[in-house]
Amino acid sequence: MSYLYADVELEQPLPTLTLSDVDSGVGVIVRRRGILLGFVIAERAPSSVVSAQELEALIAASCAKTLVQDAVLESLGGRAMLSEISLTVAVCTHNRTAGLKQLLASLLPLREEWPFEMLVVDNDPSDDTTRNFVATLPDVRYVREDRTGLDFARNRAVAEATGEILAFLDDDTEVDRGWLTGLRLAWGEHPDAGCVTGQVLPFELATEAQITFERYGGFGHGFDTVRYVGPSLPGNRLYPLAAGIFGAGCNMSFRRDLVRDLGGFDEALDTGRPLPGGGDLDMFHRVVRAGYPLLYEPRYVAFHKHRREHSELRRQLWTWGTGLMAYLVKTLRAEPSRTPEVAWLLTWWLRFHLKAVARSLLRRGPLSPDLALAQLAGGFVGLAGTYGRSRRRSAAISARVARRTRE
Amino acid sequence: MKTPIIVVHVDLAAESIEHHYDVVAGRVRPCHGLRLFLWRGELPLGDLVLTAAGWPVSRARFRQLVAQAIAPAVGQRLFGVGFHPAVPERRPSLVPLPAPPLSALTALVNPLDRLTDLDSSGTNNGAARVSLVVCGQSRPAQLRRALAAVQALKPAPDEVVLVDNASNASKASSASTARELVADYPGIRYVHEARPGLSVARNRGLRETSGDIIAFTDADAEVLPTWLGWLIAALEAPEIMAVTGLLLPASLDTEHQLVFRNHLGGLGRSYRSQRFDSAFFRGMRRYGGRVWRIGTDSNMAVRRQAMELIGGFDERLAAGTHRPNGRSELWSVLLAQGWCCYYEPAAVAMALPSSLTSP
Repeated sequence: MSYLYADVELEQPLPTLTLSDVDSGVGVIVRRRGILLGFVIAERAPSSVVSAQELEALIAASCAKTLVQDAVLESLGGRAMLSEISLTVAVCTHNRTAGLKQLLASLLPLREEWPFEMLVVDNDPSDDTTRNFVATLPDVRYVREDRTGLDFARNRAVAEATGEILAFLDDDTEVDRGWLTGLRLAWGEHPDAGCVTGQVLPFELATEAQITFERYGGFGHGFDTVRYVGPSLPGNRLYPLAAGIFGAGCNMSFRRDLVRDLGGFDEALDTGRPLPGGGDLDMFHRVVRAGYPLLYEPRYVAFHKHRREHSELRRQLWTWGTGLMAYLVKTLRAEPSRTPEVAWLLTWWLRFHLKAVARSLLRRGPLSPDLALAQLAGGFVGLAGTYGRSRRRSAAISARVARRTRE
Repeated sequence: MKTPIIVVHVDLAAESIEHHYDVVAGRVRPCHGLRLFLWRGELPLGDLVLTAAGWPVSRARFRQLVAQAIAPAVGQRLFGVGFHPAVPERRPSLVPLPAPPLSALTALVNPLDRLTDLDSSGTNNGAARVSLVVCGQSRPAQLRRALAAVQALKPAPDEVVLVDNASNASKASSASTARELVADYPGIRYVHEARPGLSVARNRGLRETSGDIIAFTDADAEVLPTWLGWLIAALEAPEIMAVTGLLLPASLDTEHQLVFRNHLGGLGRSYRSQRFDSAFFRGMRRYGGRVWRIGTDSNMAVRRQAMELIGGFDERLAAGTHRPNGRSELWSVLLAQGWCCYYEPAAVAMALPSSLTSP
């Protein structure tokens, strides 16, 4: 089971998509004059043909609002000039040189549009493959961070970066050709922002697990720019605590000094195997709580390589549960007065996932029962002291690495 | 406590967006929200709330917010299909909805200028006789504005009746004031209704008029000149029995007094027209009907035939009584019998502030 993937340009005649006998749908990236406009996903029978007319109707239905909005905006004066930011792009990587290679192949050519500092943070690598690869590239900085954990690596990037804006990309993504333009537009239009998050679309829909994940919502945050600011959001009682609405850690950028002033990423979150997640949510939440605007910019696009295997997807959903709960426990420790908010979010979360489990048992909805249960179970594990253990563990890692350095 | 909301009307045709930005920037105050109503001439296209906490935003962001707020209504006005408001109770359909042709969408340039071509069909073909009933009580200053607006209607109704149901002795003086005041407006007939309640007043209006179509507005609201044209145009389809319009706060006023009267409340006010049929009614029955979405009876037109079908407004249910929900009853009955209702936001009445004083 896989979806035929296509990248179409509206200024040119649309192609006819012919599905193979293993394809069960199409995923279409839609552009106009190169700029990403929409993403269409539709189920189709194997070996069927999506004609140009049919494709046109699919695109019209999904992109009509964006097209009209763009035309209106154009007539009102369009978007702002691109900002002339000094930018550092950091990739935190751990034993995934192949992925890093592909990401940099899509990213480095963008330096012709606007120069930026490129920083690779190699997190506790088991060999020198990544170091050797980076050495072959001109103007790419390599930093090795021995303390295992994504947030150790992110904080290292914060310390090392020279750019005023620091953008993070995960090593399992590739960037869109409009990535840098979108990033600069967002920072240009919102010079007061503390954080800008980008859109994350699937890189491929080649396996059942990837399709399931995308059908479940993926990282989708829509095609409208959203500016979050202030302590409340009308119509959303979970704001700003339910930080998943703000974006995803695999494609995000910050004002570097702000992250430093806020004390950096929480190193007890995102600590690899035991607690892989929550650090991005925690940082989004702290930026908004500190009163800085947070932007979601749909044209600042990265493509994420979703987990290909069912078991990997199950693990990812499990970590979403643990990560969220660890972040909540941490927030509660820092601000006990917010207990009612946390309790409200927990209630909502529990109801949402119990429903998801029920739906999966009835074979409705995209998730199979084991996937729905994984996220729920991950949540319970996350509540059961994981954050405290993780803090002790990350303190131990810091101490061990410090000792080793002294020796 | 809710923050007070200051209302600002923004006509995108009259001034540049940069000018509007400067106006808005000058109006933002701490502890206030700003609600912008976005127009193109007399066509309402959307609204936007700006809070002091969220201000300032850059000029580019302001343009983007305006574009996001009006795009759905602009799309619907220009293309008809593809921009219908979602029904919140229903999950979005996975089947693609009808959409305008992609070539038309990509060819779109200066969409706001293209909206001028479609002013209200505006003409009453003369086929139907149209009566206008103005109900309710208001202060003299409000009433003057309301009646002047009625006289400025294009097309004009065939007859206009003001039903004044200032009922008790203390209001007798206001009744005589209203009677004298109406004398200044030729073509508007004054009728006094002794019993209280808006439904009573509307039924009296029905009895006093002879039109095939009866439009209703309130004595404390100012209709736009194109108002009646839009309502009549919507009634051209024979299965549509009633059409409602949009009620907006006029100016310089806190919006809270309107929240109750506005069918959709502050947040969900829609700028896209919508047709309500018996399928909508059946679909919404499990959610309690949801017929109040159809609109307000302060701003509507109905066929006389419809009122005969349902036997007039239910006088037990209306503003001024303890069950102020006469309109939901009306919509339910019409839809249950297989007729349709229509919501046309281009038919705008502006609620006048009660603080309005005579010039």
